[in-house]
Amino acid sequence: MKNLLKKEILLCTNAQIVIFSLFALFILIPSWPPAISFIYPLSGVMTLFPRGLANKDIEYTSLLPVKKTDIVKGKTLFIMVVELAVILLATAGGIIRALYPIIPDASESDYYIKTQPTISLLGFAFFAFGVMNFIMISMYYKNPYKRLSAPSLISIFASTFVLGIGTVLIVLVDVMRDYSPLGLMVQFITLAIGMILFVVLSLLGYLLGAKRFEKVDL
Amino acid sequence: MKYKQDVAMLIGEMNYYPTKTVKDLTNVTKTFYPDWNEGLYHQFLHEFNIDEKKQIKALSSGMKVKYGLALALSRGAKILLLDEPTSGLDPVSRDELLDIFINLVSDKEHAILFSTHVISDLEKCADEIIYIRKGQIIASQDVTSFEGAYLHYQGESSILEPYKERFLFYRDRLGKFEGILPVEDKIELENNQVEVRKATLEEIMVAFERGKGE
Repeated sequence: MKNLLKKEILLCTNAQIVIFSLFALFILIPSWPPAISFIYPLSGVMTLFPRGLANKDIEYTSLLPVKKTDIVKGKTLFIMVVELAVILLATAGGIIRALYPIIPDASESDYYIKTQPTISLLGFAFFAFGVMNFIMISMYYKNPYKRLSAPSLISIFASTFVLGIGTVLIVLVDVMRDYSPLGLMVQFITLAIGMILFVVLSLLGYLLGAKRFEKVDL
Repeated sequence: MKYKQDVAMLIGEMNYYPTKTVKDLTNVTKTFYPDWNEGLYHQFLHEFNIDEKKQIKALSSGMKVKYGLALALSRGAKILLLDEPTSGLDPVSRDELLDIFINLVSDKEHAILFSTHVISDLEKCADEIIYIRKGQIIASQDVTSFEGAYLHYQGESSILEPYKERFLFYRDRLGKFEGILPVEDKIELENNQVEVRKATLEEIMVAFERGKGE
C-alpha cells in the first residue's frame, strides 16, 4: 500500500492538482464565501481521473503485482491525502482571515460577520469531500474507460450542494457561528460529524468502487 | 502475485505517464519488485542507449519497447509476453529488437511469446509458431516443420492447371501457374517441367488467408 501511495504521489501528481489545491487559499479573499475555497480543489480532484486515463494509469497499475482492489484503495487514499492537505491549507487561511481582516471597516457588516469561516464550515467541507469521494470513486470504477462525465458532474454537483447548504445553515443558525460555550460545542460536533462522514463515505466509495472494478475486464 | 513477478507483459506502446521521465517511472516501478537488479537495469539502459532523463513521450517507438524490456528483465521476469513489439518500427530497429530476443532466450532461462503480423520476424527468430485464424488455432508447431509441410509449385498453366483442386491456394495468370500444396498431396511430375521448393512462411499464411485462388 505504501508503494501504491508513493506511486500516486510521484506519478499522478502534476501542476494541475497542486494549483487547484492551492486555491484553498481563496479563503483569504475577504468578500468571498469561504466555501469557494473548497469547491475549486474539488474540481482539481475530479481532474485526476481523466488525467489518469491519458496517462494510461490503470493499465500501468494493473501490470504491477498488486490486487485489483488495491488499485482502487491506493487512489482513494491519495485523494483523501490531497483533501486533507486542502483542509489544512484552508484552516490556516481561515485563521489568518479571521485574525487579520484586510478590510477592517467591513468587519462590522452583517454579511461579513455571517460568512466568516467557522469550524462548523470545516465539518461541512469534510462532509462534501466525503460525498465527492463516494460518488466519484464508486461510479468511475464501474467502467473506467467509458463513463467519466456522469461521475464527474454528479459528484461536483452533490458536493457543491452540501457546501451550499452548509454555508446557508451557518448564516441562518446563529449558534453555528458562535464562540460561546454552546456555540463551540455545536461547532465541534459539526466538525466531528463531518470528519466521520468523510471517512465513512470515502470507505464506502472505495468498497463499492473496488467491488465494481473487480468485474471490469481490462 | 508470485506469477506476476515472473511474467512480464508489454501491451501496446509504453505510453505510461508520458510527461514523466524514464527515471521517474523506473523509480516507482522498482519498488514493487523485491528481485530488482539495479546493476542489470543500468546495463540494459547503456546497451539500449536510453537516456534516463528523457520524458516518456520523447522516446521513439523502438526505444519504448526496449525500455519496457529493460524494466521487465531487470525485475527478474522469465517469461515475456509481447503484443506486436515490432509493429511500427523501421527495419533497423526491428532487426535490433529481434537480435535482442534471440540473445535473451539463448541462455535457456527466458522465454518470449510475441504476437506479430510481420511474417519475416518469425522467419528470423521464432522457434515455434502458433497460427491463429478467426479465433481458432490452425497450427502450433516449430517453424521448420511448419514450413516443411508445404510445397511451392511454379510452372506452365497447361501442366499444373489440371491439378488445381489439390492446391491450398493458386494463382493462374498469363499462362503461368504457381501455388501452395500440402506435402502429403504432392504431385509427382518430371523435374524439368515445374519448379518445386519448400514454401516460405509468408506464402503459407497468405495461402491460408486467401483460400482457394484465382
